[in-house]
Amino acid sequence: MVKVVFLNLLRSKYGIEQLDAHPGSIHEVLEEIRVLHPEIDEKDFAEALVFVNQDRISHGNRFLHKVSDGDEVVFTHFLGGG
Amino acid sequence: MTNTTESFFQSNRGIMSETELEKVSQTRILLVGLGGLGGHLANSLTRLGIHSIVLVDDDRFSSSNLNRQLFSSTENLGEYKTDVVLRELKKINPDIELVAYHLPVQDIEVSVFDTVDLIIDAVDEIKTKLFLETMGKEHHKPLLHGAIGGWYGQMGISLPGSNLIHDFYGGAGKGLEKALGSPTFIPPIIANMMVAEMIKFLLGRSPNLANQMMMADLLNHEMRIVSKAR
Repeated sequence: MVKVVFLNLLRSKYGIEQLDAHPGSIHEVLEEIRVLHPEIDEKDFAEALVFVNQDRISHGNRFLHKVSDGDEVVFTHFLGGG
Repeated sequence: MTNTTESFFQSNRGIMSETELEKVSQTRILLVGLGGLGGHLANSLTRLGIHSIVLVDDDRFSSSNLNRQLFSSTENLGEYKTDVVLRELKKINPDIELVAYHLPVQDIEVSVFDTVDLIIDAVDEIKTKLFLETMGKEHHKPLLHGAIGGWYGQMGISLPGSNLIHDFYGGAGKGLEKALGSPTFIPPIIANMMVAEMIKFLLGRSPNLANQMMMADLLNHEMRIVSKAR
């Protein structure tokens, strides 16, 4: 299984800290999560960053990126304030 | 060592030896941004005993800063942040060496980057954060990065040659801080977490955030390293 972690705003909004999902593309992982949690709005992921095993996945292709059994996927948003 | 500097060491002992305190205090800092994060950073660096800080910010204090920017007050609205912060830091430690530029950091002499040991990013524009990482790379200086928004913060140390910050922000749009706001209590917490990371890095203590990015979530009680530089 793939460990999926929501951080910061996503965690605060949905109250979800961590979930397991089946391996596949990031898009497929998100779709699986949304079946379990239909309250999740896909628009909240429009600007989300994706990290797989602490590697930042290229923003343009992130939903196509494939994750495997044992991977950790983190969804979050960056901050820019000072 | 003057009496003022000597007195700083008294209460900072306990977590550092005298040699370590001396090493930290001799680190020359370039602090870019004197707003929410920067004001608290300037305050803590000075009280830590740092001897030399270059301050850069082209902005003036305004009323919207009063909820969180340490050195802002109704008495200095409209003044350059550099002028106010320089004045206030000198009250804390009259012996500190300070140079201030009320310019965008892109407009200061490039040679300034060669006069410091560490660059600190406390700015609120992503393009400037990226610029600072580029300058750190070109001048072989580590960059302590920080950012805030709402209940959240992020920080990391980009070593010369790494693309930690570029990789982190690359390709994405805007940060959330405009929508999330800037509450009073977040800048001092995140700024002082940055100071703690700086100390550990300078002293070679592990774990530290060299080439790593950590996110802090004060609403949900979590700190997590999310990325490492390739």
